[in-house]
Amino acid sequence: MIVDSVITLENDVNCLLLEKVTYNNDNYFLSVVLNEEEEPSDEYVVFKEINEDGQSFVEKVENAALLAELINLFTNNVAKLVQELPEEL
Amino acid sequence: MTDEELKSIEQTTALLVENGFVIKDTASFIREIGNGNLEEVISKLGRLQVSINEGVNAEVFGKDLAVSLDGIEEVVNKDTYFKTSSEAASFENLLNDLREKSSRLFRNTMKAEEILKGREENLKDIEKRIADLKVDKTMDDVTRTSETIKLSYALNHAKQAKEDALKFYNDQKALSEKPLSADDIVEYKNDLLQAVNALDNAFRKLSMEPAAMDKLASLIRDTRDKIVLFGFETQKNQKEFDSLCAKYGLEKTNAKTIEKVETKEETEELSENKDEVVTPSEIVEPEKSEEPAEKEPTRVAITSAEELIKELKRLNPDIDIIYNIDGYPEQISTWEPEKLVLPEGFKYSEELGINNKIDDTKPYISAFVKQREKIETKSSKVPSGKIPVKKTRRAVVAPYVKAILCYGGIGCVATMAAGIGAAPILAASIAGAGIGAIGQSIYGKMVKFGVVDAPNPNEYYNNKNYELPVFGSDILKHAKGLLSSLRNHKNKRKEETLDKTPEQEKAETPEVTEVPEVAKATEMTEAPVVAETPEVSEELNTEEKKPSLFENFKDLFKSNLDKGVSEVEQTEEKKMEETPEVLNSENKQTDFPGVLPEQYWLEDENLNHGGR
Repeated sequence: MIVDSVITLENDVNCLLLEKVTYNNDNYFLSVVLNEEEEPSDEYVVFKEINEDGQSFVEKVENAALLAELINLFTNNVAKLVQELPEEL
Repeated sequence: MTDEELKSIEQTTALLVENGFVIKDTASFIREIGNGNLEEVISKLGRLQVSINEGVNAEVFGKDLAVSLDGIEEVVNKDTYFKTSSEAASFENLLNDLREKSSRLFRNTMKAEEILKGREENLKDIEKRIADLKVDKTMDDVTRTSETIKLSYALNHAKQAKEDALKFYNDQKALSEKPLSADDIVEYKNDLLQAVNALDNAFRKLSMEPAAMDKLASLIRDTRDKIVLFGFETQKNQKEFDSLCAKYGLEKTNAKTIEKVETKEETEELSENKDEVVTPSEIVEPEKSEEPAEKEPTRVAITSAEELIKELKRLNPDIDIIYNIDGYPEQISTWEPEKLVLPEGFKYSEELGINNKIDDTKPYISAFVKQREKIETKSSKVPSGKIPVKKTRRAVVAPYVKAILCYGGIGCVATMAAGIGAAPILAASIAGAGIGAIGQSIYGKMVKFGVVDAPNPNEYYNNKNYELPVFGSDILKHAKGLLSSLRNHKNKRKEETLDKTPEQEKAETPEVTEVPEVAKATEMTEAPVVAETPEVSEELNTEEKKPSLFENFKDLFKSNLDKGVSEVEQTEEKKMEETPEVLNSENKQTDFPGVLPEQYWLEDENLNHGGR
C-alpha cells in the first residue's frame, strides 16, 4: 500500500491513505474515511498494514499508547510536507 | 488455614487499607499478586501518590515563565531595528498574550497581593499621620482633638481593610497553590503552547540584529521547553500510578482515616477468629463500604455560583472549570453532565445547568455546563480487527488539500488518543504543539494567497495571527473551513478560466487535453486545477519542447507523484514510457500493479466532473 491511494475495505468502505510511517518494522497509515460521494468524512483512522500470503490486510489501531507514539511520527512527516508546500496554490 | 496464612491475610489487608487502597478488580489482583511483592507495589504507589499530590505549582511555574518573557522583552526592546519591523506590534501583542495566559491560574493572587499592598500602605500612612500629630506642637487643641478623632476612625477602618485584604490574599494564594491535576495541566499547557507557537511564528518575521535574533530564538525555544516540561513528572507519575493500579486491580480511596479504624476492627476480628476460614471476599469488604462515602454530596452551604463550581470540582475531579475574562470561575465543562455528582439540593437541567431553582419567585444559584465535544468513534465505518483490502486505486491529491487533511487527521487522532485513556495524554499533547504549528503554517500560506474566507471575516480573514486550535475537535472544524476556502478559491479560478476567450485559454492550456482521459476514469475527479499551475503553462507555451505524455502527467501532478511513486517509479517508468497510451484508457493499470489511476482534487460537487 502507498500513500495517495484509496483502499476499498471488505465492507466497501473507501479510505484515502494520507501519510505513512514505519514503527517497530510495521507500516502505519494515517487515512481519512471517504463517504459515499467519495468525499473525505470526519472519520480518520490509523491503519496498520498487514501482508499475509500475498494478500493485503489492514487493522485499525485502537491502542491509545501506540496511537500517541504514531501521532508524533505522523506530525513530523506532515510538518515536512507542509514545509515543502509550493508557494502557489 | 494455617496461622501463618491467616497472619498473611491480615497483613495484606492491613497493608492495603492502611494505605488507602481497595481492590476493585478481584481477578486482576488474584492474578498479579502471585507475580510480585505487594508490599513493594504499595510502597511504590505510595511514593508516586506523594509525588502526584505534591503536584505542580502553577504559580512558581508562571513566575519562572514570566522571567523568560521579561528576557524576551528585554532583547527586543534593546534591539535597534525591532521597532522598525512591521511585525513588531504583533509580536508585542503575542508576548502580552502569552504573559496573560501564563498567569491565568494565579492572576487572582496577584490582584489580591496588589490590594493587600495598597491597604498596608494606607495603614502605614494613617499611622504616620498619627505619629506626626503627636509631635506637632503648633496645632491648637481644638484641631488636634478633631484630627485625633478622625484618625482614630480611619485607623480602625484601615486595620479592618488590611485584615480583609490579607484574608482574601491568603484564600487566593491557597487556591493558586493547589496542585494541578493531570487534566488541568494539559489544558493549561495547550493554551500556552498555542501562544508560544504563535510567538515563534511572529519572531521569524522580525527585523533585528543577527545576534539579537539568535538570542531571541534561544529564549523562545527555552520558554517553549519550559512549557513542554511543565508538569511532566506529575503526568508521568500519574500514568505509572494508574497503570500499576490497573495491573493489580487496585483503587485509591480518599477515606484513609476511616479505613485505618476499620482496619483495626477488622484485624481484631480476624485475630479473634483465627480458626475460621477467611474468604477473599471478606478481605475486599472495605470496598463496599467506601463507595457511598466517596460520592456523598456535600452538605456545606453554597451561597454563590463560584462556591458551587468549586464544590462541583471537588465532587467531580474530572470536570474542567472555565474562567471568565477576570479570572473567576464561570462555568464547567464535562463529557456527561447527567452523570455529575451534585451537591445536595442541586439538579442539572440543559437550560440552567447545575442549579437549585425551586420556582420562579425564589432566587437560585446556577452554574452553566458546557458539554465537551466528542469525536464520534462509536459509529465508525471501519470495524476493529484485521480487514482484507479488496481494491487499491490511485489518487492524486493536491498538496494543500492533502496538508489540510493531514492536519485535521492528526488532530482528530490525537484527540481520540487522549480520550481513550489518561496515559497518552502527555504524548498527544506534546504532539499538539506540532499539530498547531502545521495548521498555523498552512493557514499562514493560505492567508498569504488571500484564500481564507471563514465565517467571521473580522476574526479570521487576512489575520495571520489568528490561532488555529492545537487540540480537540475544533481542529476538524477548522480543517473543513480551510478546505472549503480552498475550494471556493478554486471555483473562482475556474470561473475566471471559463470567462476567458478561447484564444486565451488555448494559449494557456492547450495540451492538457490528454489528461482528462485520466480524469474520466474516476468518480472523484473534479475541475482540473492542474491547468492553473504556472509550471504547466510555461511548458505548454514552449512550442519547441514537446514533453512525452508521461512527463506531462508527472508535471501536472508534480510532487504527489514524485513523492508517492518514487519507490516504484524506478522499475516502472521505463515501462510507462514505452506504453504511454495506457493512461488514456479508462480503468487501465497505471504504474502501480493493481492500482487504477485516480485524480483527487476534492472539489465541490457542483463543479463539472471529469477533465477538460
